[in-house]
Amino acid sequence: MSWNLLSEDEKRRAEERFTGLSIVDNIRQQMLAESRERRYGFGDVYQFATNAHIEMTSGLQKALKQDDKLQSALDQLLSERVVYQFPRAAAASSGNLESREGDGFSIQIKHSRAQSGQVYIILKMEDAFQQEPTAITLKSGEGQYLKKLLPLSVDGVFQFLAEEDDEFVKTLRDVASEVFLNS
Amino acid sequence: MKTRILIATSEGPSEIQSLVPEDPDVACAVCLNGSTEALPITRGYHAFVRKPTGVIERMTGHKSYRMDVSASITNGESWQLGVYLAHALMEKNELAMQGEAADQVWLVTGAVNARDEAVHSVSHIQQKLNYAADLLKELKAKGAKVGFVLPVEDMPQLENDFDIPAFPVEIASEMVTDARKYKVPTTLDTRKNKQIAFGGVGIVMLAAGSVFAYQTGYLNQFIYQDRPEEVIFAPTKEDLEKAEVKENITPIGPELDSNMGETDTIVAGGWATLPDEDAIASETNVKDMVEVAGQLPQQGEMATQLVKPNQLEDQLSFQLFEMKTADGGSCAGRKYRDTSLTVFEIKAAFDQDWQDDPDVCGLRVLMKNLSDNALAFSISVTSDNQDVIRKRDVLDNDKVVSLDEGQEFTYEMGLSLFRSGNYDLAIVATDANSDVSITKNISAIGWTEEASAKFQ
Repeated sequence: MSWNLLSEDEKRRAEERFTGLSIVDNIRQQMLAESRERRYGFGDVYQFATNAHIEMTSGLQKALKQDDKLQSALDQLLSERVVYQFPRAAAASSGNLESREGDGFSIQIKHSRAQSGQVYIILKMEDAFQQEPTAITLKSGEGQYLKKLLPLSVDGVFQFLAEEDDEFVKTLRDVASEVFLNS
Repeated sequence: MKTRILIATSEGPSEIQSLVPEDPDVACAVCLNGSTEALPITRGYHAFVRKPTGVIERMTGHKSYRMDVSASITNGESWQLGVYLAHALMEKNELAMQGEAADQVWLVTGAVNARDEAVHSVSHIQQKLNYAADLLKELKAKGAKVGFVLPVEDMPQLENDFDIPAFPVEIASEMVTDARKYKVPTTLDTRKNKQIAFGGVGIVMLAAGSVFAYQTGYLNQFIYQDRPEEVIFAPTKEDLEKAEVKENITPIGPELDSNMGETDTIVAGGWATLPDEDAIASETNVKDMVEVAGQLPQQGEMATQLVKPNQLEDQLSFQLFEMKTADGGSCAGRKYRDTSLTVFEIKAAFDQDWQDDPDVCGLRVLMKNLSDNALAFSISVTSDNQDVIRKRDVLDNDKVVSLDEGQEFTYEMGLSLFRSGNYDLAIVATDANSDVSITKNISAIGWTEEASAKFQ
């Protein structure tokens, strides 16, 4: 059948059909792309470890749980790229920590008198460090990563408020968690 | 009687909902509506509270507070007077906090000088009042006493007909004293007995009845005497014992620094403030003050420092300009777009708040020799934020400039594309012959996110 032999009405209907099929095809391709799981790699953990503004996503968290190598790479990057890494709390410690002491750094959690249920997280830099941290990253005992941007420091002290039941505060208090200060 | 304080902002009034002392280990914080969101003025508030820069700790003896407000206060210093008054009222349990009934409501704006508690001018007075007008009218209709508290200097900015009394304030602590008596006057000019005005300069207040009593006539003597090095008032030990010194002693140095010059030997960090109003200082107090000032207790010597009027002030004019891209685009990549810079004058920008914007690529200062003689002076620019000025675009500091009569000189400084937040710039011109200097300050208010978004 030749296109030229078709009537105007047949041509119009054929065009409409092609357009419809094309739209369906596009939608199908899009759905396929979305359903395909994103693959996370070294680039993603590098971004998370080195860029204070990149937050942990559920996808990356899931990938870390499934891929030990990826998790090791992140841990190594965090250790190498931090301004400071707090040691794990002493083994004798139990229950909730209200402070962590490091070499030249300390973190305190103080209850707000003004708002019950809120706490101040106070990070003090006791020595003159060449590089100020811009974010604080926690790794919980279960391997969950949490990050918060730090406000500007005042006289070497970074302070921010959080709800006491916030996951970040719970993790910070947990003796099993690790604390990294990122540049 | 309880008073509610509303901070007047150019985006609407923000109520001080609560003011609570916190653990002294905690830095001061300003939060929004009881949330954990710390507002951008938190750092400024911390500095405003804590010694040595702050005034609140000096007033209350406590150094950490959390303040909650009903609406965001983003920048500037015009919140300071309201916060000062709120603290003073709280000390007397007279601040109406959230949920408490108030007998009167004050809408307040004004900056407070931490050194002497003088109230300084702020901008956008009428705009702030306009935004609060409906609320104030509503409160007034409900029977509340309502007032607008503002700096004396800013009265001319008012053009309202809201039928709301305006209370111009000159000194914050005196406003408080008066407010506690619930007799807020229409003007507060109580400094006149404490301060001697000379050439527009506030000079140290010292009580009458002793050798410390400066009188205008004596000052004039100092100014015009032929032998300024002569010690005219060298107080004896007996004089010191008799001396009364009231509070709010204005540091001589900073006052003179921009106006009179010759301050190095007088001031080392300003004079001490004595504890109580009308307190009689002991000899020790006086000596302590003198030690702080780094100067012998010889007023004549101090006067010696006063005898050199700052001629440069009258001889050199300054104009400030913003430099923006001609195509209205971002400063980044300007050269690749082949667009030039356009220059806009900033009216009365020195010593006032200036709104920085991301499309400002730099600042230009135009200096002109207004005298009949050639002038030689050095120029330097300093900032409290070293990341603000693009180093490559700035002339070397302390560059010496020579200007013939009527000649002009342009000083340009490129601003970093990555600057953020508030910052201060000080442009200092120092006379090459006398070391007398003029300082022109620019208080830049960091740009808003909306302004920044335009170029992203």
